[in-house]
Amino acid sequence: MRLSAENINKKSPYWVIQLDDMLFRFRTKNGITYRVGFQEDRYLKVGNTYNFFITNMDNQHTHRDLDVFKVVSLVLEEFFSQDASVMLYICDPTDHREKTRSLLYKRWYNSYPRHNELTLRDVEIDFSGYIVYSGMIIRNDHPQRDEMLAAFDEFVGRAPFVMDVQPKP
Amino acid sequence: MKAFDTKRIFTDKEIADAIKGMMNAKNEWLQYVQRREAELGL
Repeated sequence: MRLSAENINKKSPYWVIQLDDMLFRFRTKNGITYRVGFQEDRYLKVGNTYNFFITNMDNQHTHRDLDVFKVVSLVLEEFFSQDASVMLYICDPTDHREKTRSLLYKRWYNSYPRHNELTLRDVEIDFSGYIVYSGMIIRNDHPQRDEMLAAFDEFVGRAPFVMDVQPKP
Repeated sequence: MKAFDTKRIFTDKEIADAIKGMMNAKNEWLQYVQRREAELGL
């Protein structure tokens, strides 16, 4: 699958540079550089799914920049304009902002004009009190939509009973 | 790819491996980003 920075840049408030088929970079007015993209999932193995990632590699704490949200929205829209798109995400817990990140995915989904064409399954996986926020977003016209959601639900439901996950020190 | 017409899709080992992989996936992606930027001279 290849996404197009050209499409994203038609509406993006920041100029997006394409680093690879599904990897982008952009710099904000505050001088923060973000990398955002997708990588084919190798773990859940339920079909062609992609993990979504975004990082501020400078680790600079920023004031809320709505234009970053807009750029990410355009990247996600470009992804879901492709056929049979399935996205997984897991909210990075290393800085204790995972719940905020989880809410951002919901916010993006609710603000997406065509969200009725997608299903968002957001979950909290409880590993003995350590909560991991994760989710799947899938196009409703995906030929295996129901099966993939069922597989994700099974994984999420059984994960806490299979192994324990503890936060890194 | 596993058939989807069975109730039990994953083995316990598959779930455990998936959990470990997913918890490390971002680190792997970050390494890939750094490699790619180095290739592009960025």
